[in-house]
Amino acid sequence: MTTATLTDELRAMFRQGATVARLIQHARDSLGPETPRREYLKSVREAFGLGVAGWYLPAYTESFGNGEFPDSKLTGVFLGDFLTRRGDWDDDPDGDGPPWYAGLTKSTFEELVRAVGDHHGLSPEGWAALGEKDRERLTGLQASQIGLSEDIQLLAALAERLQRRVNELEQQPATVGTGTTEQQPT
Amino acid sequence: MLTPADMPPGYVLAVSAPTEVEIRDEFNPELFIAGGLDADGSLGFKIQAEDPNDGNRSAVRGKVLFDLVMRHFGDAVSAIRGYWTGGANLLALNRGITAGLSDEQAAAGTWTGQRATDCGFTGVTFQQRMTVLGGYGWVSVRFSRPEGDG
Repeated sequence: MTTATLTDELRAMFRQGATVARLIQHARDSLGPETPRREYLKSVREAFGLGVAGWYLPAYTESFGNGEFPDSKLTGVFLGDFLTRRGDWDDDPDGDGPPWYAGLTKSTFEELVRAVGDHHGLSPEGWAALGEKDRERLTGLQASQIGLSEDIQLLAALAERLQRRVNELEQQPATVGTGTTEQQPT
Repeated sequence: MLTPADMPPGYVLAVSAPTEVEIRDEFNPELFIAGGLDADGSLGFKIQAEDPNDGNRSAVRGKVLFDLVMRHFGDAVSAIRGYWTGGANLLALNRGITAGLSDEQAAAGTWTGQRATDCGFTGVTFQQRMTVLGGYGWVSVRFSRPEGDG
C-alpha cells in the first residue's frame, strides 16, 4: 500500500467516525505486523498534520489497544489536535458524505481567549480590583469552559455518528461464518 | 548522533535517525526514552523509567537518558516541548501554582522544566491549556532559549 493511499484511507475513516485508536490499528494492519510501532504511528500523525514532537505521548506507549480507557485517552488527547489542524488535511470533507464534525468548531486556546475578550462577567470595579495574574487566570478558566463545551459537542456528534452506524448494522441480516448470510429469526 | 557505543550498560539504541532516537532497556521494552524533532527544531520526548506493569524502575536515571537524547540531536534542538495530560510534570506544575509560583516558575520546577533549564532552555511559553480550579487539567508548554541567546 502506498503512503498516499493509507493517508486517504485514514482521513476518510476519521471523517466517518473512526477513533484515534482505530486509526492506529488500521495503519498497523495495513503496514504489516512487522512494521515498527513508530512507523505506523508516523503514518497517522502525518495524515493529520501532527509533528513528531507532538506525537511522543500516550500513542507511543504500548498501552493503547489494551482497553477502553487507554483508547479513549488517545481520542481525548488527539481529537482536538486533529480538528484544530483540519485546514491542513481536510481537503475533501464531503467526499464520502458529510463528516461527523461538520459545522462544529474546535478552537485553539488563543482563539478561546480572544472569544472571552471583555466578556468576563465582572463589574468594571470588580475587574479593576484584580491583579494581572488573577485576570489571566479568570480568562483562562472562562476560555477553558468554552473549550470544554466544544469538546462535549464534538464527542456528542461522534457518539451519534457511531450510534447511527450501530443502527445500520442492526438492520442488516446476521452473518454466520465467513461469507454466509442467513435471515434473522423473526 | 548517538551510536551503540554511547549506550549505558543494559540499554540499546533501538532507533538512531536525524529526527528520531529511541533508547530501550535491553530486556524490558517498557523502560525507554524516545525523542522526536519537528522541522522547527522542537523536541518532544517520552520517557518511561518505571514499568507500569510491575513498578520496576530503570537502572539508569532518567536524567542520563534525557541527556543522551539531547546529545543525539545536539544544536538542532531549538525548543523542548512538554505536553502534559497527567503524571509527575502536571502534578508538580499545579503544586507550584497552588503554592503561589507564577505559571512559568512552576513549569521550570517540573522534571522536564529542570532538564530544560539545565540545557539553557529557560524561556517558558504555554501554548495550549485547559485551566481548572487549582491549576491546569492539561497543558502544552514550550521551553526555549532566551531571546538573543544562540
